[in-house]
This record gives sequence, structure tokens and C-alpha cells, in this order.
Amino acid sequence: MASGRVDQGSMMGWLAFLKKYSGWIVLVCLILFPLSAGTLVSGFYISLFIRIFIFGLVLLGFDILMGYGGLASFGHAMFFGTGAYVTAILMKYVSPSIWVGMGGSIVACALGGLVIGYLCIRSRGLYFAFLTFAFSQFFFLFFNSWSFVGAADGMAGIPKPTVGFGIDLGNRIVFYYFSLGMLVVGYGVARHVVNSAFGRVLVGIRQNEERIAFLGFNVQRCMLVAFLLSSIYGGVAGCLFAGYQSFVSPAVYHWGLSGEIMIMDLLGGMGTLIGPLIGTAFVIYLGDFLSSWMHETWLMVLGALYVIAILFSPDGIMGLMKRITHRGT
Amino acid sequence: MSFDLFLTNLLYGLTIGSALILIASSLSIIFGVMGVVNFAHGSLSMLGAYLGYSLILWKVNFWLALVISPLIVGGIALAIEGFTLRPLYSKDPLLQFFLTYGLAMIIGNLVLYFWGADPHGIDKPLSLQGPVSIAGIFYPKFRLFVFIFSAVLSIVLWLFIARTTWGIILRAGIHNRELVGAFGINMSTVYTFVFALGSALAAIAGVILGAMRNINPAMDLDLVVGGLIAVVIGGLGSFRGAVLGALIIGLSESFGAQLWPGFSKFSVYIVMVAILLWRPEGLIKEV
Amino acid sequence: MKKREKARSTDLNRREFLKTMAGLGAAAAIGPLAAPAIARGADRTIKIGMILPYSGVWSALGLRAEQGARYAVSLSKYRDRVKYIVEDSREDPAVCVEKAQKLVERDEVDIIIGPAAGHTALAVSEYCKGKKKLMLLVYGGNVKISGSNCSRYTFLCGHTTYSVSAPGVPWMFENLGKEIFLIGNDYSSGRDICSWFKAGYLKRGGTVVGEVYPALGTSEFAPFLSQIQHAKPRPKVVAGFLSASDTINFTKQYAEFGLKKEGIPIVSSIGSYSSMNVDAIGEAAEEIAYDIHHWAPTLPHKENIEFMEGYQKFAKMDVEDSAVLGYEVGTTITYALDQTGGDPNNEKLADAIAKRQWVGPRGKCSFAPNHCVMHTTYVRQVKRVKGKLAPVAIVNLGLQTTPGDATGPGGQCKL
Repeated sequence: MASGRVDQGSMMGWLAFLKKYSGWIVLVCLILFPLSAGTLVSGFYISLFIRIFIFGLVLLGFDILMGYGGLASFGHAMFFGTGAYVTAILMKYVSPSIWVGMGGSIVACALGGLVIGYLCIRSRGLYFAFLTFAFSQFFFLFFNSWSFVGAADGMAGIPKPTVGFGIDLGNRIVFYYFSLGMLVVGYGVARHVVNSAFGRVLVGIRQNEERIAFLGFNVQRCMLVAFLLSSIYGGVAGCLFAGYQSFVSPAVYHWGLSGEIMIMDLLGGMGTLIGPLIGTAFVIYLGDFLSSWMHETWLMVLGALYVIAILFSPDGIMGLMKRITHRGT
Repeated sequence: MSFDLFLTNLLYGLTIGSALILIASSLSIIFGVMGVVNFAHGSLSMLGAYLGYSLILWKVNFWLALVISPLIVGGIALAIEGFTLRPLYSKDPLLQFFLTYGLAMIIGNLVLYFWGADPHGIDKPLSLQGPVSIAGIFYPKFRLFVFIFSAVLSIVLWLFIARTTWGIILRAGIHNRELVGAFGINMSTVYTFVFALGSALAAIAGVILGAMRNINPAMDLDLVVGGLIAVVIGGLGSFRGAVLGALIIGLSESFGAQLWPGFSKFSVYIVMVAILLWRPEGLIKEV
Repeated sequence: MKKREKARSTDLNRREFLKTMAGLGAAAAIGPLAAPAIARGADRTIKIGMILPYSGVWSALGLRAEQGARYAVSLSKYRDRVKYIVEDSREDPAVCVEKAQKLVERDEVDIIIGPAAGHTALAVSEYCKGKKKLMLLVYGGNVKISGSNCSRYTFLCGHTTYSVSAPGVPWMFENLGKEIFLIGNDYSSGRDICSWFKAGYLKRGGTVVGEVYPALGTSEFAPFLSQIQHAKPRPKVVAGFLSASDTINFTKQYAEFGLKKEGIPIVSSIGSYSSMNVDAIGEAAEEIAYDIHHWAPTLPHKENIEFMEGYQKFAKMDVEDSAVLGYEVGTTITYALDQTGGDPNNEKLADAIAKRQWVGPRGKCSFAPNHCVMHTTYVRQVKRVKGKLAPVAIVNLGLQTTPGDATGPGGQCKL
């Protein structure tokens, strides 16, 4: 009996420790990972993680809008794409510095987010989704036919980005740390926003918009701020994407990408910030793995997995984990 | 624009529109009754098209194929609804939407797997081949058939929804499911029936569109996106709105291609944004 | 009693959780580790990485091309040494480059068989150039690859958009007529081909009566067809390029509009009127539809007949253009290996391939200095052969390639 109680205590202690510091543990692993690349594991996986970090940034902003704010945007690719193209154009014709590209992307997406957000915020639910979809299609069709950026073929020959301080951002491992750093910063900002009073108002709007309005909050303004934040996150991510890929094609504006972003949020667990990051990693890794393993039928299998995931764990991976860990308590 | 050109664009805008009506009307019914945005609608339509293609290849008569294909697809839809959609009815509509997104991926790729990626054509029945002359303009007989068919279909469905007892039950169900249940009507059965019916209609649309144009593994996305735009413009849940939305899209595509040749693809989205900004809930609110 | 049970149940749940986490962690760790182990096989294995489309609009091409290449290798003495690693390109440049990275860096392939679309081919070619990896393009007929972006390690084995369109201009001008109406999809291939036709006609003193550029995936061509109907002077030929699905819709509606009855021929490019598409179009294409291409199923020389029979037996699929493209890539690989004595060293292979001259299903072929294949170009017409409609080669336009000099469509190639 006594030993049982001690066991329970130490087990509880160990698990709590894991849970509390899980974020840090993962971060340390990610920091150490490139050291194993090339020796234990192929350098290809650095690319995979860079993609996960870049899309993780998109999802952080997107989760603020959809997970916390309750507005499902089906056109988020438009900010990612704008970030990518603006950066590409600036880097090719103005300066290869990634800060220039990032600045330009932030400005462009903030402007776009303000205008488009203002127009779309008046709608809710499916109408909001379709309005954002329509706007994103504009971008797609426009960039698909604009010969200055190579139209449907896209823009190649973007120079390798520079970051100053004598660091070579063209080196893949350096870019890995750069994008990881941006993701960590982005996460910190998002977590701060979400935990603040503003974040709570946002959740309140999602749960009962009328009530929040009656309490005197300006609902439209809150939603616009959320939209703006999500658009800036998308733009920064797009900037990193262009810097890394050295080319951009109109695929960055395709509505399939918007759909994928939504799926990553849903699968990971909406409204948790961590969930979407896990969802991003999961979808990207799974997509890569499946498409190599079953190159003819992988989309079918992926669709089946989505269906199963939605049926059995509608609140995503985070929800699943919460249920497993709370079953004991 | 000369009258001749105007009439041509009008006729062909109506053609595109009536083809869209076939998809949008069934999509609208499913949404109106069940509240589900069925992203898999285009894939079921494509499945119907390919089944029709195979049937005709096996020497089945076109009209018979037009009956058999929707029966098969309706049956498949029954199974899909029972196993996947039903558990999600009380949940977030976003989840339902994504379920159908996943289903669309599965069905679309199943079609690709079984039939291959080559585009094919469905042979029109002999009686409907060749053109007729409308006010001096060549108009293919089959397109006239499509126009008449979609008009008749719209009227029949509208009468069913608006005038019959069943239709009233369906509409009442949207507003208050429990109350309808209290009358002893099993809404689950109604939902299943509506989903199967909508999918069967989509299959018919697929066969007809396959004969009018061609069938290819990418047609599902074109159909569902076009259908959804029509339904959203018209007003989700409004059947008349869906028909109107389809016609508007058809006409804007046709006239858009004529007036701004480089921007024809934009025209649909410009119209969509304009309408949604003017009337955020679509054009028509009631059924 | 109760306390002990409670302790046990919580222990069990914690154990369950830890097991799950451990399992996930192990899977995540092993996944990347296991893969290279599998890839590192016997030293004598020749690894061929394929980046081809298996999903989406181009998927018809992927499977056939893969089988074409496999068929060619199966006829050679390397068939037991070759290992294939196949990836779905999704015809997205970002995905293609990622797959190329995976194949080159993780799986360490010897040769890459490249993606289909022009822009994806360019992206992967640039990557392979940097890695000095040999890449053979099944299609990827981007003129930039034959021009300013040419590479020592990249070989265009199929054709470019140029070599199966522009050479048809003199024949069209002499035999069909001097007034042309241009129609092309609104993207690079469509616009490029129409511009080459336009330039060719204007140079000879012909007239361009009109030009339209319907978006990809147009299903209703009425507005465009009515422009053709109303064009003055009457065009003697309607030419350009539309994608497979659009070609089918366009040709069917062309007949429905009465333009077939008026007798104005349609001349498309890049083999738009393949057996498969013609099957889908039906009678509407008979006699009125022409295209320009590097191969026709009806070519009578023995290399073609043997290839078609053998391929059908091997792949159990119909022979289409993409099968020919894959086959030519495959025979190029086996030829090069013959020259290097089975050594897959990329430098030696590249040198060998550049000198290749052969007779294949298309006829006589060789490689031009810009690593672009030189092939025979034909004008084909849709005719009834043994009761079935098929594209028949009616005119031999001679050996064609895509010039890689400063006046070429892709700019100057410096190799």
C-alpha cells in the first residue's frame, strides 16, 4: 500500500514535469536536430522541418482568427501568397535582404488585411468563408496571368536571401535556425495576444457575439484586429517561403492551400495554438511520407485519414491527448 | 454589341447556367434541409458521370443509363450518410464541411484509380445530335435539351419543396428538428432520404454534363466550386436563390468572355464579391 | 481496497499514455532512420528516381511514361540492377523540388527522370544543375531549358513546345491558306505557340484574322466560336494549342457551331488530337482536325511497330504519346550505360548521351548541342483507319529541334 502511494506520487511528478516542460523539451530537440542531420538522418529532413516551421507561422495567425475568433477563412492563401510574391519581387529587383522582403510583406498584408478584412468582417460563417475564398481567387487569377511575375510558370531566379551580420542565410541549416527562431517569436507573440484581455474577448465573441456586444465591446473592431494579425502572420510566412524556395508560383495562392491550412488547424485542435502546430507537422510529414510510399493512391488514403480523424477525434490531436491524459484524474 | 452577338451570348450564358442549375439545385436542397455544405457533391456527380460512361460503353441506352447511374450513386450516398455524416449532425458545421472535403478526396481518387486519367466523352443519343436554329443562331439540340431539362427539374423540385406535405416537413425540419420529431416524423430518415436524392440528382447532372462536354478526373472540383458559388450568391438554404445564382454565373461567364476576354475568369468572382458585399446573406432569403 | 484499485487504474492510464507517446516518438525517430538504410542497397544497384504526375490533370502522363521507361530498361541487360523510386510531382514546382531533394539527398539516386510541366521541369533542372545530377526530361518541354537555362546535366528527350508547333507554319501557309485565326489557352504554352504561329505568318505576308485566349478549363467556347464565325476576312485555318480537355470541348462545339461544315480546318500542336482525345471527341474531329507532333501511332517503320506491340504487352495499357516519351528516356539511359560499361557516373553518362544517335518509334533522333532532342516532326490528320478514328501522319516535316542560339525561342544556351 505504502509503496503504491509512493509510486503514484513519483509517477504523477514525472508526468507533470513532462507536461509542464514538454514545450521546452520539444524546442531543445528541434535545436539539436540539425546536428544529427547528415550523420544519423539525411539533410532532406531539414527541408521538411523548415516547411513545417513556415506553415506553423501561418497556422498561429490562422488559429487566432478561426480557433479563438471563430471566423473560418477559406482564403488564407491570399496572405501567404502575397507575402511570397512581394518578397520575391523585392528580393529580385530591390535588395536580397530578407528584412526588406519581410518589411514589404508585412506592409502589403497589413494593408490587404485591413481592406479585405473590413469588407469581409460584416459576414459570418459560411458567407465569410466564401467571401474570403472569392478574394483569394482574385489574387490567384491575377498572379496566374501577370506576365511580370511569370504568370502561370511563376518567378524563378530569386537570389539567395541575406540577413546581415555576415551570416549566410542561403545555407539550409542556417535557414532552419532562422525560421525556427521566427516561429518561436511568433508563438510568443501569439500566446501573449491570446492570453490577454483581447484574447478572451475574442473567445467570447466566438461563443456568444451578441452578449459581448451588449457588454460594450466593439465586436467589429476586435474581429478586424484578429483578421489583421492573421494576415500579417501569413505574410511573414510567405516571405520565408520565397526566401527559402528561390522561386514562387501561383500555387501559393491556390484555394487548395487555404483548405490545407484549415485542415491543419482542425486536425491539430482549434483554439489551442499548440494544436495547429502539431497539426501542421502532422499533415506535412504525413503528406510527404504517404506520397512517397503510395505515389498513386496517397490522396485517397489521406482523405480517408481525414475522415477517420474527424469522426473519431473532432477536437483534433490536442483533444485526443487531453482525453488520454485526463482519463486518470 | 450587335443583337446577333448579344443573343449568342445570352443563349450560351443560359446554357452554362442551366448546366450549373443541375448541380446547384441538388446542393441547395442538401444544405437547406440538412445544413451540410456537401463538398463531395461534385465528386458524386463525377462518379455518376463515369458510371454512365461505362454503362453506355457496355451498350446500355443513354436514357437507361440516366436512370441506372443515379440509382447506384444514390445507394452509395446512403451508405456514406449512414457511416460518416450521421454521427456529426449535432457538431460544428465546419467539421461536417471537412468531412465532406475528405470524402471528396476519397471519391475523386477512387474514380481516378478505377477509370484512369484519360478524358472521355459520353455519346449523346442520336435523337439529340445536331443543331437547331434559334433566331438564326446555331444552337445544338442537346444544349436545348439541357436547358429544358434543368428548367423542368427546377420547377418540379420547387413544387415539391414549396407545395407538398413532404416539402413542408423538410422545411420545418430546418427550423426546428425536435418539434418535427415530436410529430412522430423521424428526421434521421428524412435526412438520409434527402442526401440520397440530392446525390442521385448530382449523378444525373454528371451524365448530362459528360455528354455535353467531356468527363475527366478534374471535373469534380470545377463542379462543386461552381455549384457552391451559385448557392452562396443565391442565398444558402434558398432553392430559388440557387437557380438564380446559377443563371447569374452562367451569364456573367458568357458575357464576361465576350466583353473582357482576358478577364473572363475574374467575372464570376467579381459578381460574387459584389453580390455578397451588397447582400451579405445572398440574394434570396426564403426558400 | 478502493484506494488500490484507483491507483491501479490511474497507473494503467498513465502507462497507456506513456506507451502512446513512446510509440509516436519511436516512429518519428525510426521513420527517417529506416529509410536511408533501405535505400543503401548493393553497390551495383542503379537507382533511378522518377518525379512524375500521378494526381491531377497530368496524371494520364505519369503512369504511361513510367511504364515506358520501365519497358525500355526491361529490354536491356540492366533490368536486374535498376531500382526505381517513384514520386508524385503533383506538378507543383515546390513539391517537385522537395521530391528532387529527397531523391538526390536521401535516396541517393543516380539518375532523375523529370517532371512533366514546363515550369516544374525548369525548377528541378536548376536544382539538379546545382547538384550535378543527371536529369532526363520525359516531357517538360520548356524552351528556357533549351535556351538560357540549359544545363550539362539535363537532357530534353521528348520535345519542346516549339519543335512540335512552329515547324508546321510553312506547310499550313502553303497548303491551307494565308488567313489564320489563332486560339490558345491563356498560359505560357498556349500563348507561346500562338505567338510563333503569328510571327511565322506575318513573316510570310499572311494575315492574322483574329486571336483569342480562353482560360484553361473553359468548357463553353461559344463566345470564342462566335468570334471565329464573325471574323472577316474568313480564316482559312484555325490554329494554336488547347489542353486535352479543352481540345475535346472545343472540337465538339466547333462542329455543333457549323464550323466543321464550313470546312475550316483546325490545326493544333503537341499532338492534341491523340487517339485518346479523338475517341472522346468522336466524329466531330474527322478530317477537319490536324495537329503537329513528333509521333503518330500509325507510323509504319519497324521500330514503332515493335515498340507498340511490346509496350502493350508489358504495361497492359494503350500506347499514347507519354508512353513513347518514357520509352525514349529509358532507351537513352540504357544506351548511355552501355557506353560507360554499366557505370552510372553522371559525368560519363552525360558525355555519352550527348553523342547518341538512334532510330526509335518516332524515327531518326539525336541530341543537338543544347541537349535538346532532334526528332522528326509530322503533320497529322484525324482519319478513319480500320473503322476507328486515329491521328495519321500525312506529312513529314523533317528533322526539327529547338534552336539554342540567341534567336531561339528560349534564348542563348551556353554549354
